[in-house]
Amino acid sequence: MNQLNVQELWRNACDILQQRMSQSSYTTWILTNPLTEFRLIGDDRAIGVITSPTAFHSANIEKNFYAQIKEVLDQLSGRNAELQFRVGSPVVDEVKTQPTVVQSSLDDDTTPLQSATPQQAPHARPLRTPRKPMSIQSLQERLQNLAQTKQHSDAVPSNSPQPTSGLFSDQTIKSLAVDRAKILAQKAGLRLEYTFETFAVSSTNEMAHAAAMAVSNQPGTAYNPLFIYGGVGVGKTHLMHAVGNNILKRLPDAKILYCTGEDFTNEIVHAIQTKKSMVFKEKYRTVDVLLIDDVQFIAGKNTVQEEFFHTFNSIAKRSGQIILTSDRPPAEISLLEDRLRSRFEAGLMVDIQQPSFELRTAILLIKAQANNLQIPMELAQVIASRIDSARKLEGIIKRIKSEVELKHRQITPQLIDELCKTELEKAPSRLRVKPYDVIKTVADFYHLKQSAIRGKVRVQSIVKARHIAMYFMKEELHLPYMEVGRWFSNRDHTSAMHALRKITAEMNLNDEVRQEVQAIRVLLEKISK
Amino acid sequence: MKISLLQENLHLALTDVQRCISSRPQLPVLGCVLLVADEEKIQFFATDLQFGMMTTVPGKVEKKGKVAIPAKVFTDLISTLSPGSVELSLKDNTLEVKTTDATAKLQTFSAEDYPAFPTLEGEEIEFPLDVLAPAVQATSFAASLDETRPILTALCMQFGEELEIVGTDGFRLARITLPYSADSRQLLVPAKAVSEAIRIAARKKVEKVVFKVSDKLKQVFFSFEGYDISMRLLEGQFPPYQKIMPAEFLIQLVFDAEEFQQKLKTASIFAREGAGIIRFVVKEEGLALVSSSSTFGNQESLVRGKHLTEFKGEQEIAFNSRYVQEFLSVVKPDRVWFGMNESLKPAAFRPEGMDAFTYIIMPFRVNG
Repeated sequence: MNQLNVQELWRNACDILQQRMSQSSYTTWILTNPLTEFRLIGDDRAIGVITSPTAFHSANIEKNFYAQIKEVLDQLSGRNAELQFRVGSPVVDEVKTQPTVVQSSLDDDTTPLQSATPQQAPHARPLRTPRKPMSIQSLQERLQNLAQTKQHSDAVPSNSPQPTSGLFSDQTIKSLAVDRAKILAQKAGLRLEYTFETFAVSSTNEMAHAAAMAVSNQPGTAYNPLFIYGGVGVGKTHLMHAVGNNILKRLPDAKILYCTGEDFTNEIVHAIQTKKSMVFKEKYRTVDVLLIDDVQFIAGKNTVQEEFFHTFNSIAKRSGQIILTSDRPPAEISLLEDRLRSRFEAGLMVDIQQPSFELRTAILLIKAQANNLQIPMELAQVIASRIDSARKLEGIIKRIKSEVELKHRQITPQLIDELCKTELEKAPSRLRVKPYDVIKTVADFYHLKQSAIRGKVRVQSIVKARHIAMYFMKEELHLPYMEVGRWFSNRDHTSAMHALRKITAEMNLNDEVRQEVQAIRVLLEKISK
Repeated sequence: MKISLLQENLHLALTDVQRCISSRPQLPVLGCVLLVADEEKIQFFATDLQFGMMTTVPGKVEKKGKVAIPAKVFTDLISTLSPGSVELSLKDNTLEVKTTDATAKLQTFSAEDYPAFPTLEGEEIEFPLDVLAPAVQATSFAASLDETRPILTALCMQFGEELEIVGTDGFRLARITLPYSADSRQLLVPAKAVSEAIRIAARKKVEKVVFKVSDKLKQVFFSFEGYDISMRLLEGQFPPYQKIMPAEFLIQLVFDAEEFQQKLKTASIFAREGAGIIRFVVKEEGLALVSSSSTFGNQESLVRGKHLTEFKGEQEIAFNSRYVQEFLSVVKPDRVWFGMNESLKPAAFRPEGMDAFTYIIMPFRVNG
């Protein structure tokens, strides 16, 4: 029997039952316990289901009213009806809508309860004192209290306490969600200021940006792993953090871990030392998103590579997302195990080029805004034309900020000129390092032995490193050619001259060599005194 | 029907079962207790059709029978009698209550009109009383009594890897986590009814509280020595309490509970006309309670405390003092842990070192 017919049948039954019993009985036992189903069985039988709000109702109807209801239903339907009892909400539709009604009244700031007493929402109601009998005095006090609070709030509304929204208002839930995201980001090692919103995009990095966006929207499925490579200060790390922050924003429960290749290495060493490698494995292998910065650092370290390999596999198996950054593509990371290289190359590899002039201008303006500085467009362009790396732009912003805030100077073309000049002068700062440092740094960079560089072996990769080391000794340390030659197994001064010419020429032709020289220079600057 | 029992036992039984009876019964018979005397077993029943209780009273049955007796007047009558033997006998519709020196006659209702109780059924859950009783007590006080929003009158039992019990009225919330692992599900039991059941269990000094949960009847049944207590499971969506638990507290300090309670009382004197609002100022030395009244004056008292986080300047937050007082009087901590983030964000109290328990209060916005 369909729903309408059941309702029709029950309405008729109610009319008859109402006349046969007292009004209060009828309300309690019939009206709130409707017939919700009436299944016809065979030619002359039927099963009716009575739905009651509580088990007490159904137990009692079954005991005391079964015969009466059955008789009426039999008479109306012309069948021999059997009654069954169910506890629950009577109408299916209501079951569905009810929770949302409750929900909205909790979350909505303008519930009838609150709007009824706008000045003093439920907080201010004379509150119950549980387990304490009501007395005349307490009633008196409550009434006075009510009158006073009312008076008070009417008289000095500006100074009266304004109840904040309820515990479950949208506002509270949202603001706590933001707090939670911050803490999660901190726990994951993410920097909050590195987001997609603060990332300027131009032709040099749009591919990487698009890939990162895709990954953050579909972690684990879009591109896995995502391998971002490029020179220093081009925004690899920023992009990586942005992916992490964006995933956390959408999926606060996702387990995200950011670390550098060096952190990863150090942690393994530490775990082995303290015999806690299980803790390490548990930490890294169970994450949903693993972000490793400067992954080239693990190359040449066998145990670390092995551990990373297993970590990689176990995350990939659970379709977790992996994002890596490096200063060069996997193919050029020497001493990287083949099984790792092939895995890195299996995902998407994108490079970020040195920022163009327009992009540098945009980065400068974004960073200025983040530091609350107003730099006019013309001046921003002046700075961007003179300074070529994003990191240095950050430095110059800091200096402008300190000039403005500490010395109260205006941002004028003169000031910019002054700062850029010192920046430029400072830029090719003299490296104060020993020839030995150069050899060590170059050897480490190419994952070669120092003896190989200084030795006589003439394999192409070693020769290149040797030439670069010579280049630094002559060009940066200003050693005489004779002296340079002597550091490399007493070579002739002409070998050194050849190396210098070759590298200078290649730097103009070959981006890769230029980037490597630049990277080594950065490393040397770090140890420069 | 003719029975005799002790006034003390009868009185206790009646005060217990009477808690189920609504102040405005839907039917006259629901304002009664049902007395059933059956071979050496005397039982009293009461219900408002949501919350029901049965208790057995020891006594002597001379003649079997049953009757529905108006609860209020019957309880009042028994409570005024002197301790000792009481004889109850039914003649037609009149119940005669007789002691050595008093006789009373009560009009009664037919036991046939009294609603039947649902039969016990469902999956059994068991808890040691010394775990469940304090947990229920420490959470149920935060639940609402406002029947217009029935969902907030519930105590939420969230089963999973751990059991979380939560009570809230929408402005404050108490949550306790117990190490009890079960299949994930949520039970919404009426806070008032479950506290009653636990209160009686505690008085009876049962070791284990056993209750049955019936999904079919949407009912929970507590059973222990001489008592069957059943209550209806509430339906609907409990507020998303996990979402409003602050993930961390930037300001945390601990202080002595007794001193705090004392200063809170002082502060309340001047907070009466401001709806009990007291400002809490986090200072280097501890927590200052500030309250003022436009007619009487103002006060400030300091509760000395120890910061667990680095002190980074004064912070202020305002609460309804009653919410704080209730926490102190129900939970009875020795030392109080207080955690907050910002003036308008939820703050928390707990007994020091008891991380399983958190009491969250929504602060007030205070102008000026």
